[in-house]
Amino acid sequence: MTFARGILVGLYVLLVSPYAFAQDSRDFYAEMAAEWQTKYTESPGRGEINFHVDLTKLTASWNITFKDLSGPPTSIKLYGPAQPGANGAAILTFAPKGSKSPLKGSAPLTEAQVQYLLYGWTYITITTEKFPLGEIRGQLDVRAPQVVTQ
Amino acid sequence: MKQNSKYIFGTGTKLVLALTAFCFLAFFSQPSIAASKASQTLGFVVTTWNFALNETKFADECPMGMNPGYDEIWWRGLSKDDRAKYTDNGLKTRLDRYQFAIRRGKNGQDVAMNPTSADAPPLLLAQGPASYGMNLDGTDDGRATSKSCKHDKYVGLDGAPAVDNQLYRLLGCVYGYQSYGQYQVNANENRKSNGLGMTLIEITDVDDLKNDNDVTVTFYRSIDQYTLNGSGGFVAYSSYRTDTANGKPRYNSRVKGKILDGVVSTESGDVNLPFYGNYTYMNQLVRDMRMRLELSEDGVSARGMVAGYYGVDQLTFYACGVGPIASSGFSDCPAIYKAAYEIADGHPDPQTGKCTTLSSAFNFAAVSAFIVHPESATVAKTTPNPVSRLLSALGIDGN
Repeated sequence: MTFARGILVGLYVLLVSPYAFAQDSRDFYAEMAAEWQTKYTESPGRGEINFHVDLTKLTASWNITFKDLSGPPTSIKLYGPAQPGANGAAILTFAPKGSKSPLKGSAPLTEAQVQYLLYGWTYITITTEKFPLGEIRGQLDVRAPQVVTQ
Repeated sequence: MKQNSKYIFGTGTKLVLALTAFCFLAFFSQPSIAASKASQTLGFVVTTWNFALNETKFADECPMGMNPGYDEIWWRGLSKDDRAKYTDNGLKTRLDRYQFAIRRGKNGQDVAMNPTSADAPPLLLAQGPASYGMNLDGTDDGRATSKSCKHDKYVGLDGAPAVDNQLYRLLGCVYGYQSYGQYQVNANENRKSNGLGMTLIEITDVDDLKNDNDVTVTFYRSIDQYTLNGSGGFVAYSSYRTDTANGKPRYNSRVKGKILDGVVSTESGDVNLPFYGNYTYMNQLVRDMRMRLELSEDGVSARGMVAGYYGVDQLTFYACGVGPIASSGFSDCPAIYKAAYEIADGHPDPQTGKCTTLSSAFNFAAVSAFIVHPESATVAKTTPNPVSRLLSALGIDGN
């Protein structure tokens, strides 16, 4: 009886309860280009960001690729909170000066930083010697979850 | 019977004594007799009022993130040159460039005033199975009826089945309308600081504070500002006068209700509520409204929810009229307007069959208050107290 009740409660939590919809992780994606810089910038540079956040551990992992920049990156950072067209503060440094593509890594995040990500209020900018304010930029958009329990 | 009458009225002395005793009792005992028989009245002043949105810590209800606002939509639509030109290379704040962002209509119209003048990206609707609210259409599955359009149902956050709340579906992923968002916080702060659009709730005919199957709930507007303590907190048991015109209250929507285990719940009725927020004043008509109000143990405060149908035009008036504050509320009126009519689920237009209202829910908090009606003030002024009445009867001016 207790076992059966346990199964029923488990099914309720999985399928019916308000918590059934919660996701344990989220994925984000962005294409980086000069046109997304708020300052007028001419550069053929391109980049791609795949960003993963584990909501239970509050950690982020990433895979960043870039090419055709005017020179080696002087910084690659995550900024927020800011929507496209606006500027935010640096909240995470991905790599030291001179890093090469592809760039992989992981780091802890705060709850507030995760919320900025989830709202679509973060972006990644790569700076170079020629463009100290940023050569290419990409706004991280949430990818639709693959499986939605409803 | 006849003999008794003769006995009583046949003796002049006894009659005088009896009348004297009656008058004496009438002078001195009327208030206590009235008090023992009268039902109690509970009064509350609403302190915070929010769209009831189910907000999870990591926005599970918004798997695609929050909706973009005027500024982002406008900026994305510009050429690279114009982006640099109109934003001073990104140095202009959203507020400073609001004047450009808002005029993205096809002919330069203000899209808040003309929400159909621009294309809008599809509004990201809130997802998930759970919501605040109540079953308003009476169906289990949200099928179309003569009074409603087809829509999806929610499970209530309290476990109630078949809950309707299309307004949550509409605004659940708009940042400004979250309980911590700019519109909500600013609207509550506006009311707190200037006293406009304050709602008073009066519950009359209360015989038992815990269980009473017949009470009356009336909603008024206050003309007095909140009484706040030194820390900015709401002071309970303050007096608030109702707003009147020509001796009649401007707001006095009334619904019947009951109290069960200290929780007040009302029947359904069309209710007019005052509202002020984000520098916008309006009359909120909530159709087929029901209220649930939970009193605190000490009776000092209460928390409640109202559910009912909210007009799309009424919502548009507010959502599109917030002005430059939208630069930090991150909403887009054309997108909200378009989606609101698409998912409206109540009160079909008899001509078109298109629904014109959204099922909705609002959470609110209140503190106990004395509600002062102009007629009670008049009564107090013209009806002397028992001592004054006795002195007056004796020919002495007691006032």
